[in-house]
Amino acid sequence: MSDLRTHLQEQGNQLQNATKKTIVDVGSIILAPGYDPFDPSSQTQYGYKRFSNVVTSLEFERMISASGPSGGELLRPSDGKVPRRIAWIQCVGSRDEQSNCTYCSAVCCMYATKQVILSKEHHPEIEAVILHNDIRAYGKGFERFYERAKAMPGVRYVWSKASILEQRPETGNVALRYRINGSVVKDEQFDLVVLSIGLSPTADNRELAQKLSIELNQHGFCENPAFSPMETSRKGVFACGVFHAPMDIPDTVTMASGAASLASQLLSAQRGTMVEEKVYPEERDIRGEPPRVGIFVCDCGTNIARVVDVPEVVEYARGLPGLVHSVEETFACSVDSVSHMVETIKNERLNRIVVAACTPRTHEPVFQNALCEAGLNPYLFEFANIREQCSLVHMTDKETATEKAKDLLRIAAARAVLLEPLYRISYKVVRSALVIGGGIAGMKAALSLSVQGVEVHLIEKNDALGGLARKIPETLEGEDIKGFIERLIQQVTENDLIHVVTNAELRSIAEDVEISSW
Amino acid sequence: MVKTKPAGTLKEISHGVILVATGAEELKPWAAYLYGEDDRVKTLLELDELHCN
Repeated sequence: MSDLRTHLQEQGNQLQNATKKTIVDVGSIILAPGYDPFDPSSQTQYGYKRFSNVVTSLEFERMISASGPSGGELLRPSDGKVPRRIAWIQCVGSRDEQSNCTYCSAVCCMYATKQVILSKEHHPEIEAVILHNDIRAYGKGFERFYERAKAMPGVRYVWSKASILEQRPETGNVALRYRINGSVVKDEQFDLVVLSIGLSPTADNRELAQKLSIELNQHGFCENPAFSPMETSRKGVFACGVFHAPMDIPDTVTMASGAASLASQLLSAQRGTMVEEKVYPEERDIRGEPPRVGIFVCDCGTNIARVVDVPEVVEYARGLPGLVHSVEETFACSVDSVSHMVETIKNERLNRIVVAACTPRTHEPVFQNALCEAGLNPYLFEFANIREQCSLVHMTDKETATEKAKDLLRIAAARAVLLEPLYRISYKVVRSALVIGGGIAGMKAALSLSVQGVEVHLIEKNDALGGLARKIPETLEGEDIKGFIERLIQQVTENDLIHVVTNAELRSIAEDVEISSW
Repeated sequence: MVKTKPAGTLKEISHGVILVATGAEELKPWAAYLYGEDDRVKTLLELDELHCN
């Protein structure tokens, strides 16, 4: 454990040493300071820091991470053995009067469930017990995920509050006491106990709020107007992420986009006035060159390398037609690896690049950018998705996964040899938006676009705007929903840039684009 | 180019981007819990509507 804590401490120090003072002139501020993981050392019933085999969920996250101190091997702190029985204690620092954190931290039920599934993937024989205070699987796809974990052999979800008795010196096992069915007290031993810690406001929130003259709520999260979660009590200062309240990554992304949109409305007059275009080196003319293929095979930490025999795949690549360079990368998408790729393309005068890694949906632009940096046309690039299509779907069959990775790589390399440079064409975009649906979401989107100077057509199937929310009189806090919707409707109908069509039914959508080349 | 049909007339709308904000519909539990058979069985939104009026 000390290794892990030192590792986290070092990472933290590296970040802190990078502090420097700069003065910037801005028209809007977005606050995204995040959160502090709840520190359970003050809660003596959990024995955190007294017992080495009691870890927080964030420490556990590092323990099973491919880039963590044990390289993705799940080993318990006291003796480096693989834990066979693991307990998760939920709501540590959430929904708890004693620690003064009476709010739900929103993410713990699902991250614990994810950790159970990950542990089972590492070692299928692991027994997992989740001692919880209700499972809140409220988000998109969460219930299915929870049901999947619950159905795994050796996984038990128990509705209970637990406390830790001791860590047995002779075995290193942790003795837990918990209550089942409200009355029966049970003692049970585990190899490892994970505390599912909540999300606390950062220690600096108060100071930040004071400096900016914005209000926080009683817990120390940001206070906001009821119907505008990204606004703060001060105009021009916006908030997003866990600074607002505990939330998961997708919700953080949604909120950040919303905050950016509000800031953008405020600054729309200045848009485009400070743009600096990224300049790439001049593109190398590869006409007449024989194919010089470079293949980069990614371990994805251990996500790919645990199942696919990467060195074997790299070796196999050496025999492919046109191959000049093939190499294994721990994380091909890391900044270091990408800049190394740029150098390799230049030095080896590569003219076709194949990356065997994860999904092109998220990572193709990263590698195409590397090609541009190296003076190659970005379309001289092929992707073999050996993570999703090999190491994930053939997780239990290393041989098949490795053979399939070779096949996918051979196909990608054969295609790469035939690639020709492509050039982008530009479309004339009609600068107006069609918003389908005239409820709160549609109206807010229409208003945001119009403030940024975009013409909007808002179509609604009913005879009036407002949607289902018209049927709900007030919020939990007693805020007047009806009044809010009426104000929105008024703003929308009075706005010259928004054209509302009610009783509208979408009949067809036709493409009619004018294409011009540049 | 989108064709919409308010009151039987077709209208073409030229646009560069579409935002879908069509929301949801309330599930009406017909054939369960006496819904639709007994007036005292309401959905949540129907109850809220009673409060509204």
